Amino acid sequence: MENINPEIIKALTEHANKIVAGSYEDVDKILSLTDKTENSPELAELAETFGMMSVKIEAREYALEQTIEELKKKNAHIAALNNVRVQLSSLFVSIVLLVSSYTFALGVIASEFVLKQHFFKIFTRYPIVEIISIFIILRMMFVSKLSLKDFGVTLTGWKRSIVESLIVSAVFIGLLAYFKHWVCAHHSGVFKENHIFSLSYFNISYVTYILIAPLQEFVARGVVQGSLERLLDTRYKGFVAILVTSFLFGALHMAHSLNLAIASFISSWVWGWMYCRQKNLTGVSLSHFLVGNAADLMGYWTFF
Amino acid sequence: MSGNVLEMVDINPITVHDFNEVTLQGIKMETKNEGDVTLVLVNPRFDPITSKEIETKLTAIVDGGAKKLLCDFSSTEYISSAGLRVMLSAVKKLQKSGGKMVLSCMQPFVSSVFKMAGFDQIFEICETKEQAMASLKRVSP
Repeated sequence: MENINPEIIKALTEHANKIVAGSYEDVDKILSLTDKTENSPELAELAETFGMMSVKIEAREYALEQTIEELKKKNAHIAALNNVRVQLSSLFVSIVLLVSSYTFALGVIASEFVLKQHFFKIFTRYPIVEIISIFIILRMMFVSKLSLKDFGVTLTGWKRSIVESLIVSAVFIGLLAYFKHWVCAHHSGVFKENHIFSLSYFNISYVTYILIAPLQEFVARGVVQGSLERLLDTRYKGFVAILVTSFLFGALHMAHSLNLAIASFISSWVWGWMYCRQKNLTGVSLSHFLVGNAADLMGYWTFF
Repeated sequence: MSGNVLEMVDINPITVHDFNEVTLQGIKMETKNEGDVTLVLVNPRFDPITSKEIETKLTAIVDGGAKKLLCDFSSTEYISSAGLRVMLSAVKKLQKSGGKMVLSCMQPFVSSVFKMAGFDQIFEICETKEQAMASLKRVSP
Protein backbone atom coordinates (compact mmCIF):
# COMPACT_ATOMS: atom_id res chain seq x y z
CA MET A 1 0.00 0.00 0.00
CA GLU A 2 2.92 2.30 0.70
CA ASN A 3 3.73 2.23 -3.06
CA ILE A 4 0.40 3.73 -4.01
CA ASN A 5 0.34 7.44 -4.63
CA PRO A 6 -1.95 9.17 -2.06
CA GLU A 7 -3.44 11.20 -4.92
CA ILE A 8 -4.61 8.01 -6.59
CA ILE A 9 -6.08 6.77 -3.32
CA LYS A 10 -7.93 10.08 -3.06
CA ALA A 11 -9.18 9.77 -6.64
CA LEU A 12 -10.32 6.18 -6.03
CA THR A 13 -12.20 7.30 -2.92
CA GLU A 14 -13.94 10.05 -4.89
CA HIS A 15 -14.90 7.61 -7.65
CA ALA A 16 -16.18 5.14 -5.08
CA ASN A 17 -18.26 7.85 -3.40
CA LYS A 18 -19.85 8.71 -6.75
CA ILE A 19 -20.78 5.06 -7.27
CA VAL A 20 -22.28 4.97 -3.77
CA ALA A 21 -24.31 8.03 -4.78
CA GLY A 22 -25.62 6.12 -7.80
CA SER A 23 -23.46 7.65 -10.53
CA TYR A 24 -21.48 5.25 -12.72
CA GLU A 25 -19.77 7.91 -14.82
CA ASP A 26 -16.42 7.34 -13.16
CA VAL A 27 -16.42 3.55 -13.31
CA ASP A 28 -14.33 3.61 -16.48
CA LYS A 29 -11.74 5.74 -14.69
CA ILE A 30 -11.45 3.11 -11.98
CA LEU A 31 -11.32 0.32 -14.53
CA SER A 32 -8.49 2.05 -16.39
CA LEU A 33 -6.44 1.68 -13.23
CA THR A 34 -6.81 -2.10 -13.31
CA ASP A 35 -4.28 -2.35 -16.15
CA LYS A 36 -1.16 -3.83 -14.58
CA THR A 37 0.99 -2.86 -17.51
CA GLU A 38 0.48 0.79 -16.65
CA ASN A 39 -0.04 0.68 -12.88
CA SER A 40 1.53 -1.06 -9.95
CA PRO A 41 0.12 -4.51 -9.15
CA GLU A 42 -1.15 -3.25 -5.78
CA LEU A 43 -3.03 -0.36 -7.34
CA ALA A 44 -4.34 -2.54 -10.15
CA GLU A 45 -5.70 -5.08 -7.67
CA LEU A 46 -7.27 -2.38 -5.52
CA ALA A 47 -8.86 -0.81 -8.60
CA GLU A 48 -10.04 -4.24 -9.75
CA THR A 49 -11.74 -4.76 -6.39
CA PHE A 50 -13.42 -1.37 -6.65
CA GLY A 51 -14.31 -2.04 -10.25
CA MET A 52 -15.81 -5.43 -9.46
CA MET A 53 -17.88 -3.91 -6.66
CA SER A 54 -19.19 -1.13 -8.87
CA VAL A 55 -19.99 -3.50 -11.76
CA LYS A 56 -21.80 -5.78 -9.34
CA ILE A 57 -23.88 -2.88 -8.01
CA GLU A 58 -24.60 -1.67 -11.54
CA ALA A 59 -25.63 -5.17 -12.60
CA ARG A 60 -27.86 -5.52 -9.57
CA GLU A 61 -29.51 -2.19 -10.31
CA TYR A 62 -30.03 -3.18 -13.93
CA ALA A 63 -31.53 -6.52 -12.87
CA LEU A 64 -33.85 -4.64 -10.53
CA GLU A 65 -34.85 -2.23 -13.31
CA GLN A 66 -35.63 -5.21 -15.52
CA THR A 67 -37.63 -6.83 -12.73
CA ILE A 68 -39.62 -3.63 -12.26
CA GLU A 69 -40.30 -3.46 -16.00
CA GLU A 70 -41.35 -7.09 -15.96
CA LEU A 71 -43.65 -6.43 -13.00
CA LYS A 72 -45.18 -3.45 -14.79
CA LYS A 73 -45.87 -5.61 -17.85
CA LYS A 74 -47.36 -8.34 -15.66
CA ASN A 75 -49.45 -5.75 -13.87
CA ALA A 76 -50.80 -4.50 -17.20
CA HIS A 77 -51.49 -8.10 -18.21
CA ILE A 78 -53.37 -8.73 -14.95
CA ALA A 79 -55.38 -5.54 -15.50
CA ALA A 80 -56.24 -6.73 -19.03
CA LEU A 81 -57.23 -10.15 -17.69
CA ASN A 82 -59.38 -8.51 -15.06
CA ASN A 83 -61.07 -6.49 -17.79
CA VAL A 84 -61.75 -9.71 -19.68
CA ARG A 85 -63.18 -11.23 -16.51
CA VAL A 86 -65.51 -8.24 -16.05
CA GLN A 87 -66.62 -8.40 -19.68
CA LEU A 88 -67.09 -12.15 -19.57
CA SER A 89 -69.17 -11.96 -16.40
CA SER A 90 -71.20 -9.16 -18.00
CA LEU A 91 -71.73 -11.26 -21.10
CA PHE A 92 -72.78 -14.22 -18.98
CA VAL A 93 -75.24 -12.12 -16.98
CA SER A 94 -76.59 -10.54 -20.16
CA ILE A 95 -77.18 -13.86 -21.89
CA VAL A 96 -78.82 -15.35 -18.81
CA LEU A 97 -80.99 -12.23 -18.53
CA LEU A 98 -81.81 -12.39 -22.22
CA VAL A 99 -82.83 -16.04 -22.19
CA SER A 100 -84.65 -16.01 -18.86
CA SER A 101 -86.56 -12.76 -19.46
CA TYR A 102 -87.51 -13.94 -22.93
CA THR A 103 -88.71 -17.28 -21.62
CA PHE A 104 -90.58 -15.51 -18.82
CA ALA A 105 -92.20 -13.13 -21.31
CA LEU A 106 -93.32 -16.08 -23.42
CA GLY A 107 -94.88 -17.68 -20.37
CA VAL A 108 -96.75 -14.49 -19.56
CA ILE A 109 -97.95 -14.09 -23.12
CA ALA A 110 -99.16 -17.67 -23.21
CA SER A 111 -101.27 -17.31 -20.08
CA GLU A 112 -105.02 -17.02 -20.57
CA PHE A 113 -105.27 -13.94 -18.38
CA VAL A 114 -102.79 -11.98 -20.47
CA LEU A 115 -104.28 -13.12 -23.75
CA LYS A 116 -107.55 -11.48 -22.69
CA GLN A 117 -105.83 -8.12 -22.11
CA HIS A 118 -105.67 -6.09 -25.28
CA PHE A 119 -102.50 -4.21 -24.20
CA PHE A 120 -100.37 -7.36 -23.87
CA LYS A 121 -101.17 -8.41 -27.42
CA ILE A 122 -98.45 -6.10 -28.68
CA PHE A 123 -95.93 -8.49 -27.09
CA THR A 124 -97.16 -11.35 -29.21
CA ARG A 125 -95.66 -9.67 -32.24
CA TYR A 126 -92.26 -10.67 -33.54
CA PRO A 127 -90.12 -7.65 -32.39
CA ILE A 128 -90.20 -8.87 -28.80
CA VAL A 129 -86.95 -10.74 -29.47
CA GLU A 130 -85.25 -7.60 -30.73
CA ILE A 131 -86.69 -5.33 -28.03
CA ILE A 132 -85.57 -7.52 -25.13
CA SER A 133 -82.21 -8.13 -26.79
CA ILE A 134 -81.50 -4.50 -27.48
CA PHE A 135 -81.96 -3.36 -23.89
CA ILE A 136 -79.76 -6.10 -22.52
CA ILE A 137 -77.17 -5.64 -25.24
CA LEU A 138 -76.99 -1.90 -24.59
CA ARG A 139 -76.34 -2.63 -20.93
CA MET A 140 -73.58 -5.05 -21.89
CA MET A 141 -71.95 -2.55 -24.24
CA PHE A 142 -72.05 0.10 -21.55
CA VAL A 143 -70.36 -2.21 -19.02
CA SER A 144 -67.65 -3.29 -21.49
CA LYS A 145 -66.58 0.32 -22.26
CA LEU A 146 -65.50 -0.84 -25.72
CA SER A 147 -65.84 1.16 -28.92
CA LEU A 148 -68.50 0.50 -31.56
CA LYS A 149 -65.75 -0.84 -33.80
CA ASP A 150 -65.26 -3.70 -31.32
CA PHE A 151 -68.88 -4.64 -31.99
CA GLY A 152 -68.43 -4.68 -35.76
CA VAL A 153 -69.75 -1.16 -36.39
CA THR A 154 -66.99 -0.11 -38.73
CA LEU A 155 -66.42 0.43 -42.43
CA THR A 156 -62.94 -1.06 -42.30
CA GLY A 157 -62.77 -3.73 -45.01
CA TRP A 158 -66.31 -3.05 -46.22
CA LYS A 159 -65.50 -3.55 -49.92
CA ARG A 160 -64.12 -7.04 -49.40
CA SER A 161 -67.03 -7.85 -47.08
CA ILE A 162 -69.58 -6.84 -49.69
CA VAL A 163 -67.91 -8.88 -52.44
CA GLU A 164 -67.77 -11.94 -50.18
CA SER A 165 -71.32 -11.28 -49.03
CA LEU A 166 -72.65 -11.20 -52.61
CA ILE A 167 -70.90 -14.47 -53.43
CA VAL A 168 -72.12 -16.23 -50.26
CA SER A 169 -75.65 -14.83 -50.69
CA ALA A 170 -75.77 -15.99 -54.31
CA VAL A 171 -74.78 -19.51 -53.25
CA PHE A 172 -77.24 -19.46 -50.34
CA ILE A 173 -80.13 -18.23 -52.52
CA GLY A 174 -79.14 -20.70 -55.24
CA LEU A 175 -79.37 -23.57 -52.73
CA LEU A 176 -82.77 -22.34 -51.50
CA ALA A 177 -84.02 -22.11 -55.09
CA TYR A 178 -82.69 -25.57 -55.90
CA PHE A 179 -84.32 -26.99 -52.77
CA LYS A 180 -87.67 -25.41 -53.67
CA HIS A 181 -87.36 -26.73 -57.20
CA TRP A 182 -86.67 -30.23 -55.88
CA VAL A 183 -89.55 -30.07 -53.38
CA CYS A 184 -91.98 -28.85 -56.08
CA ALA A 185 -90.84 -31.64 -58.41
CA HIS A 186 -91.25 -34.43 -55.84
CA HIS A 187 -93.84 -33.13 -53.38
CA SER A 188 -96.33 -30.93 -55.19
CA GLY A 189 -98.55 -28.82 -52.97
CA VAL A 190 -95.94 -28.09 -50.32
CA PHE A 191 -95.41 -24.63 -51.80
CA LYS A 192 -98.45 -22.67 -52.92
CA GLU A 193 -96.91 -21.99 -56.30
CA ASN A 194 -94.34 -23.80 -58.44
CA HIS A 195 -92.45 -20.68 -59.56
CA ILE A 196 -89.16 -20.16 -57.80
CA PHE A 197 -89.97 -16.51 -57.03
CA SER A 198 -93.40 -14.96 -56.54
CA LEU A 199 -93.95 -11.21 -56.20
CA SER A 200 -97.29 -11.89 -54.48
CA TYR A 201 -95.36 -12.16 -51.22
CA PHE A 202 -93.96 -8.64 -51.51
CA ASN A 203 -95.00 -6.20 -48.77
CA ILE A 204 -93.64 -3.30 -46.69
CA SER A 205 -91.56 -5.63 -44.51
CA TYR A 206 -89.17 -6.06 -47.45
CA VAL A 207 -88.27 -2.40 -47.04
CA THR A 208 -88.17 -2.33 -43.23
CA TYR A 209 -85.95 -5.41 -43.35
CA ILE A 210 -83.15 -3.11 -44.43
CA LEU A 211 -83.13 -1.88 -40.81
CA ILE A 212 -84.12 -5.12 -39.08
CA ALA A 213 -81.39 -7.24 -40.71
CA PRO A 214 -78.45 -5.02 -39.59
CA LEU A 215 -80.01 -4.72 -36.13
CA GLN A 216 -80.25 -8.49 -35.76
CA GLU A 217 -76.71 -8.89 -37.06
CA PHE A 218 -75.47 -6.27 -34.62
CA VAL A 219 -76.96 -8.19 -31.70
CA ALA A 220 -76.07 -11.69 -32.87
CA ARG A 221 -72.72 -11.23 -34.59
CA GLY A 222 -71.40 -7.89 -33.35
CA VAL A 223 -72.19 -8.22 -29.68
CA VAL A 224 -72.73 -11.86 -28.70
CA GLN A 225 -70.45 -13.69 -31.15
CA GLY A 226 -67.80 -10.95 -31.21
CA SER A 227 -67.67 -10.75 -27.41
CA LEU A 228 -67.44 -14.51 -27.05
CA GLU A 229 -64.66 -14.70 -29.60
CA ARG A 230 -62.77 -11.89 -27.90
CA LEU A 231 -63.17 -13.25 -24.39
CA LEU A 232 -62.90 -17.00 -24.80
CA ASP A 233 -59.48 -18.47 -24.23
CA THR A 234 -59.55 -21.59 -26.35
CA ARG A 235 -57.91 -22.61 -29.60
CA TYR A 236 -61.28 -22.94 -31.34
CA LYS A 237 -62.83 -19.77 -29.91
CA GLY A 238 -64.18 -18.69 -33.33
CA PHE A 239 -65.97 -22.00 -33.75
CA VAL A 240 -67.28 -22.00 -30.16
CA ALA A 241 -68.51 -18.40 -30.51
CA ILE A 242 -70.46 -19.28 -33.70
CA LEU A 243 -71.81 -22.46 -32.09
CA VAL A 244 -73.09 -20.69 -28.95
CA THR A 245 -74.53 -17.77 -30.92
CA SER A 246 -76.29 -20.05 -33.40
CA PHE A 247 -77.88 -22.13 -30.64
CA LEU A 248 -78.86 -19.00 -28.71
CA PHE A 249 -80.57 -17.34 -31.64
CA GLY A 250 -82.07 -20.54 -32.88
CA ALA A 251 -83.55 -21.03 -29.41
CA LEU A 252 -84.86 -17.46 -29.25
CA HIS A 253 -86.84 -18.09 -32.45
CA MET A 254 -88.49 -21.22 -31.08
CA ALA A 255 -91.40 -19.11 -29.85
CA HIS A 256 -92.44 -18.53 -33.45
CA SER A 257 -91.87 -21.99 -34.85
CA LEU A 258 -89.42 -24.85 -34.98
CA ASN A 259 -88.90 -24.16 -38.68
CA LEU A 260 -87.84 -20.58 -38.01
CA ALA A 261 -85.57 -21.73 -35.19
CA ILE A 262 -83.84 -24.24 -37.51
CA ALA A 263 -83.58 -21.63 -40.28
CA SER A 264 -82.08 -19.14 -37.81
CA PHE A 265 -79.65 -21.77 -36.54
CA ILE A 266 -78.44 -22.71 -40.04
CA SER A 267 -78.16 -19.16 -41.35
CA SER A 268 -76.41 -18.14 -38.14
CA TRP A 269 -73.57 -20.53 -39.02
CA VAL A 270 -73.14 -18.94 -42.44
CA TRP A 271 -73.23 -15.34 -41.22
CA GLY A 272 -71.24 -16.26 -38.13
CA TRP A 273 -68.48 -17.66 -40.33
CA MET A 274 -68.57 -14.51 -42.49
CA TYR A 275 -68.35 -12.21 -39.47
CA CYS A 276 -65.53 -14.27 -38.00
CA ARG A 277 -63.54 -13.53 -41.19
CA GLN A 278 -64.59 -9.95 -41.78
CA LYS A 279 -65.08 -8.43 -38.31
CA ASN A 280 -67.55 -5.86 -39.65
CA LEU A 281 -71.32 -5.91 -40.01
CA THR A 282 -71.50 -4.66 -43.60
CA GLY A 283 -71.28 -8.01 -45.34
CA VAL A 284 -73.39 -10.05 -42.93
CA SER A 285 -76.14 -7.39 -42.86
CA LEU A 286 -76.29 -7.30 -46.65
CA SER A 287 -76.35 -11.08 -46.88
CA HIS A 288 -79.03 -11.30 -44.19
CA PHE A 289 -81.15 -8.76 -46.08
CA LEU A 290 -80.71 -10.47 -49.46
CA VAL A 291 -81.18 -14.06 -48.29
CA GLY A 292 -84.07 -13.20 -45.94
CA ASN A 293 -85.99 -11.39 -48.65
CA ALA A 294 -85.17 -14.00 -51.30
CA ALA A 295 -86.43 -16.75 -48.98
CA ASP A 296 -89.60 -14.75 -48.49
CA LEU A 297 -90.13 -14.24 -52.24
CA MET A 298 -89.69 -18.01 -52.68
CA GLY A 299 -92.45 -18.64 -50.18
CA TYR A 300 -90.29 -20.12 -47.41
CA TRP A 301 -91.74 -17.76 -44.80
CA THR A 302 -95.12 -19.51 -45.07
CA PHE A 303 -93.42 -22.36 -43.19
CA PHE A 304 -92.01 -20.10 -40.49
CA MET B 1 -2.64 -8.19 -1.12
CA SER B 2 -5.40 -10.12 0.59
CA GLY B 3 -9.04 -9.97 -0.58
CA ASN B 4 -8.07 -10.11 -4.24
CA VAL B 5 -11.06 -10.61 -6.53
CA LEU B 6 -9.46 -13.67 -8.03
CA GLU B 7 -9.25 -15.20 -4.59
CA MET B 8 -12.91 -14.56 -3.87
CA VAL B 9 -14.02 -17.26 -6.29
CA ASP B 10 -13.32 -20.89 -5.73
CA ILE B 11 -10.84 -21.19 -8.58
CA ASN B 12 -7.11 -21.26 -8.54
CA PRO B 13 -6.15 -17.67 -9.28
CA ILE B 14 -3.88 -17.31 -12.26
CA THR B 15 -1.68 -14.30 -12.11
CA VAL B 16 -2.46 -11.42 -14.37
CA HIS B 17 1.08 -11.54 -15.64
CA ASP B 18 0.58 -15.04 -17.12
CA PHE B 19 -2.48 -13.90 -19.07
CA ASN B 20 -0.90 -10.73 -20.35
CA GLU B 21 1.52 -12.87 -22.19
CA VAL B 22 -1.34 -14.73 -23.87
CA THR B 23 -3.05 -11.48 -24.79
CA LEU B 24 0.08 -10.06 -26.25
CA GLN B 25 0.23 -12.96 -28.69
CA GLY B 26 -2.34 -10.97 -30.67
CA ILE B 27 -5.36 -13.26 -30.53
CA LYS B 28 -8.35 -11.37 -31.97
CA MET B 29 -12.06 -11.62 -31.33
CA GLU B 30 -13.83 -13.52 -34.10
CA THR B 31 -17.37 -12.90 -35.30
CA LYS B 32 -19.54 -14.66 -37.84
CA ASN B 33 -23.21 -14.88 -38.79
CA GLU B 34 -25.21 -18.09 -38.55
CA GLY B 35 -28.61 -17.24 -40.00
CA ASP B 36 -29.92 -14.26 -38.07
CA VAL B 37 -27.61 -15.01 -35.13
CA THR B 38 -24.31 -13.17 -34.78
CA LEU B 39 -21.76 -15.45 -33.18
CA VAL B 40 -18.93 -13.82 -31.26
CA LEU B 41 -15.95 -15.84 -30.13
CA VAL B 42 -14.69 -13.84 -27.17
CA ASN B 43 -10.96 -13.34 -26.64
CA PRO B 44 -9.05 -15.73 -24.39
CA ARG B 45 -8.49 -12.83 -22.09
CA PHE B 46 -11.12 -10.20 -21.37
CA ASP B 47 -9.15 -7.64 -19.39
CA PRO B 48 -8.59 -3.86 -19.37
CA ILE B 49 -6.35 -4.18 -22.44
CA THR B 50 -8.66 -6.28 -24.65
CA SER B 51 -11.92 -4.87 -23.32
CA LYS B 52 -11.64 -1.70 -25.39
CA GLU B 53 -11.31 -3.69 -28.60
CA ILE B 54 -14.15 -6.02 -27.63
CA GLU B 55 -16.37 -3.08 -26.64
CA THR B 56 -15.76 -1.41 -30.01
CA LYS B 57 -16.65 -4.60 -31.88
CA LEU B 58 -19.73 -5.38 -29.81
CA THR B 59 -20.97 -1.80 -30.19
CA ALA B 60 -20.47 -2.02 -33.95
CA ILE B 61 -22.39 -5.30 -34.07
CA VAL B 62 -25.32 -3.92 -32.05
CA ASP B 63 -25.35 -0.61 -33.94
CA GLY B 64 -25.27 -2.63 -37.17
CA GLY B 65 -28.73 -3.96 -36.34
CA ALA B 66 -27.93 -7.37 -34.90
CA LYS B 67 -30.76 -8.60 -32.71
CA LYS B 68 -29.54 -12.03 -31.72
CA LEU B 69 -26.07 -12.25 -30.27
CA LEU B 70 -24.34 -15.40 -29.11
CA CYS B 71 -21.11 -14.82 -27.19
CA ASP B 72 -19.01 -17.96 -27.08
CA PHE B 73 -16.69 -17.90 -24.08
CA SER B 74 -15.09 -21.28 -24.76
CA SER B 75 -11.69 -19.66 -25.37
CA THR B 76 -11.96 -17.17 -22.53
CA GLU B 77 -9.92 -18.07 -19.50
CA TYR B 78 -9.99 -14.76 -17.67
CA ILE B 79 -12.45 -11.89 -17.35
CA SER B 80 -11.91 -8.77 -15.26
CA SER B 81 -14.34 -6.12 -14.02
CA ALA B 82 -13.57 -4.15 -17.19
CA GLY B 83 -14.75 -7.13 -19.26
CA LEU B 84 -17.89 -7.50 -17.19
CA ARG B 85 -18.71 -3.82 -17.68
CA VAL B 86 -18.33 -4.19 -21.45
CA MET B 87 -20.75 -7.11 -21.41
CA LEU B 88 -23.19 -5.17 -19.23
CA SER B 89 -23.11 -2.13 -21.51
CA ALA B 90 -23.58 -4.35 -24.57
CA VAL B 91 -26.56 -6.23 -23.16
CA LYS B 92 -28.19 -2.98 -22.03
CA LYS B 93 -27.83 -1.55 -25.52
CA LEU B 94 -29.04 -4.74 -27.19
CA GLN B 95 -32.08 -5.16 -24.95
CA LYS B 96 -32.99 -1.52 -25.50
CA SER B 97 -33.19 -2.23 -29.23
CA GLY B 98 -35.27 -5.35 -28.62
CA GLY B 99 -32.45 -7.84 -29.08
CA LYS B 100 -31.28 -10.78 -27.04
CA MET B 101 -27.84 -11.95 -26.00
CA VAL B 102 -27.01 -15.46 -24.87
CA LEU B 103 -23.65 -16.57 -23.50
CA SER B 104 -22.27 -20.06 -23.83
CA CYS B 105 -19.42 -22.47 -23.09
CA MET B 106 -17.99 -20.66 -20.07
CA GLN B 107 -14.95 -22.07 -18.39
CA PRO B 108 -15.27 -22.55 -14.61
CA PHE B 109 -13.37 -19.40 -13.67
CA VAL B 110 -15.31 -17.11 -16.00
CA SER B 111 -18.60 -18.72 -14.95
CA SER B 112 -17.74 -18.13 -11.28
CA VAL B 113 -16.93 -14.47 -11.89
CA PHE B 114 -20.24 -13.99 -13.74
CA LYS B 115 -22.15 -15.61 -10.87
CA MET B 116 -20.26 -13.66 -8.22
CA ALA B 117 -21.10 -10.38 -9.98
CA GLY B 118 -24.76 -11.38 -10.26
CA PHE B 119 -24.58 -11.46 -14.04
CA ASP B 120 -26.35 -14.80 -14.15
CA GLN B 121 -29.50 -12.80 -13.26
CA ILE B 122 -29.09 -10.65 -16.37
CA PHE B 123 -27.69 -13.02 -18.96
CA GLU B 124 -28.95 -16.34 -20.18
CA ILE B 125 -25.94 -18.60 -19.85
CA CYS B 126 -25.98 -21.93 -21.69
CA GLU B 127 -23.57 -24.79 -21.29
CA THR B 128 -23.23 -25.46 -25.01
CA LYS B 129 -23.30 -23.41 -28.16
CA GLU B 130 -26.14 -25.56 -29.50
CA GLN B 131 -28.33 -24.78 -26.49
CA ALA B 132 -27.60 -21.06 -26.87
CA MET B 133 -28.39 -21.20 -30.58
CA ALA B 134 -31.66 -23.03 -29.89
CA SER B 135 -32.60 -20.42 -27.30
CA LEU B 136 -31.96 -17.58 -29.74
CA LYS B 137 -33.88 -19.31 -32.52
CA ARG B 138 -36.93 -19.48 -30.25
CA VAL B 139 -36.99 -15.67 -30.22
CA SER B 140 -39.19 -14.28 -32.99
CA PRO B 141 -37.19 -12.04 -35.34
